[in-house]
Amino acid sequence: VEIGRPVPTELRLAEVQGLDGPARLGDLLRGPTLVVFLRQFG
Amino acid sequence: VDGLRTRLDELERLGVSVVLVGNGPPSALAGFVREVSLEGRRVTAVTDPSRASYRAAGLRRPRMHGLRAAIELAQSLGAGYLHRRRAGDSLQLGGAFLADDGGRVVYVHRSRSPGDLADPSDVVQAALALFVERRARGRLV
Repeated sequence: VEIGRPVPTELRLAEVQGLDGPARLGDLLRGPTLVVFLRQFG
Repeated sequence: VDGLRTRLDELERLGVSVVLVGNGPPSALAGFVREVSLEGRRVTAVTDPSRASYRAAGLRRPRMHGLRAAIELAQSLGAGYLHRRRAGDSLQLGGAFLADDGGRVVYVHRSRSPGDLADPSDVVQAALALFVERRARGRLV
């Protein structure tokens, strides 16, 4: 992930689990999006 | 999340969606959303127990947390921050990035220690710059 570059394909394709089931992280990037990776829930 | 939560209104006004990625078990997700009062916000919470997305984002996972982490923990306890029960990989470090509507990264932060968090003011500033850029391009309705 580098400033000025597109979000890497590997990151877009990473599978995550949401309350509604699995999704690709890239599918959650709708419009300007801040993605925060938490150390842990809490 | 506490620091960011206080700036969510500003981010929403600037048209920025927020995705929170944890690495705990999916069973902990609903409780986390309730605990940090995210219902009804422009925030999507997900989890990635495989941490593949963390690796793809270049986020570190040291073998152990060092002296700096111990000092940060003592400082946060001294400031009255009560550490809640957590779910996930205790060694994984976090980070954040902001992408524009074309998927281009305009802000990135990678934690170097557990207490090295993205500065919410820096995030809002980047979002504001993005907002101004979009408005200049006439993409806002």
